[in-house]
Amino acid sequence: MPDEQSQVTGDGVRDERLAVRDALEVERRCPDCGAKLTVQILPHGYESHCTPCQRRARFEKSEPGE
Amino acid sequence: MSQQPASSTLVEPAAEPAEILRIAERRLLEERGRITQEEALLIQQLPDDQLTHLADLAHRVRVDYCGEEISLGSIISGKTGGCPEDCNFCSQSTTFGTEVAPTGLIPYDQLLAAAKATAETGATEFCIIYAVRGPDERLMEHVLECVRLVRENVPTVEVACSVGLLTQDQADAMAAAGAHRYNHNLEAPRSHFDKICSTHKWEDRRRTCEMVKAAGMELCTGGIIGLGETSEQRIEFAFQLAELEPDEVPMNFLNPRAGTPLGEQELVSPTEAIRTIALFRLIMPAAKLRYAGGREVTLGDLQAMGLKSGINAMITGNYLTTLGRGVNDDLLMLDDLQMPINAISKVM
Repeated sequence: MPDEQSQVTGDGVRDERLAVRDALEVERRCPDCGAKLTVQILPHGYESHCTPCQRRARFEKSEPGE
Repeated sequence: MSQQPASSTLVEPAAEPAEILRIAERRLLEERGRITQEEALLIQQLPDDQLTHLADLAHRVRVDYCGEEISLGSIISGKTGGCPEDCNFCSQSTTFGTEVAPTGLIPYDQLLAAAKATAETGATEFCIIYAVRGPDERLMEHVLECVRLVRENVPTVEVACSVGLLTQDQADAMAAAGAHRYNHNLEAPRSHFDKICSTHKWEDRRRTCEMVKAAGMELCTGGIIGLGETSEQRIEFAFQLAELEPDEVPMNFLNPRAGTPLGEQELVSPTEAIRTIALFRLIMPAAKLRYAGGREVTLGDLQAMGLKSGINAMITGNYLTTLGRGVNDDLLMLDDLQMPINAISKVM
């Protein structure tokens, strides 16, 4: 029975595969507040937004100016 | 697919590798029959130096049964995350603490724009996938409207959907609305499924697959390679899929998701992935074998070899929760391989 791991697959190759994996991830956390982003992946591209930040922005916009 | 009785003598374990492949070739290409599970297991045990010969046979079987063309399709998430099921490879389950935040149902305009963008790449399949156990009434309305919108506005793609476990009435309603194909993966071999999921049974999935066929839709069912199953279980799995006579079999390779129980699972090696693709082709010679998630990570530079080992369809572009490589890279690869892309078989 063939081994599950290729005999020529060393740590370097494994790291390379993990690098490929990392390159295909999308950002999942808001850089401003750290909350989870709502992400819609599309066949070609993706859209994301931070619901807490959006709410905060709407709230601040609706507050009367000082 | 009809199971013709084996006319050749069963391959003995001590048979030379070339002999095992020669018998498989005769069975599939000359007699138009099928290999047995025992023979598939022997082929699986061929040494690595026979891999190119196995791949070559699988490619010739693919071309003989399915033709030279490659079918391109794309997928879109109609609802992401928040799934009550506990499939332990999946980042969309509420059971696990993953980074995927749940979304609502995709807006119709966004879905339609994605379908049009898909058509512009030359792809002919567009599959809408929801992270749910199964559809309730509200979700059924959304699915049927999505199917109607795409059919009316993007006639060069065929619409498929994947909404989990169905009742026969739901399957009938999707077929009546014009859903061309329904995807419901068996996901894993029956003997391994209880290690993958506790909230539903393998038999539930199989039952939905049977309903899809009874409703008159094309059946798309496959699974994920690398969920901790053994090599022998992969063969078991391929035969369980073959029993359903699926039109299409998506082949995913586990891309471990952080936060899931399989988050640290070892990747399937590229050569093992090629071996599995080739065996699936020999076991299901007439099915559309579609490259799906995880191919970029698992196969890397051997993605082109997969197309010469039995694959005849691809999901291009992004997946449900991760990106894919660019569609242009796939188109260039097909051009390099001189593999034509198929056009839609019938305009709806």
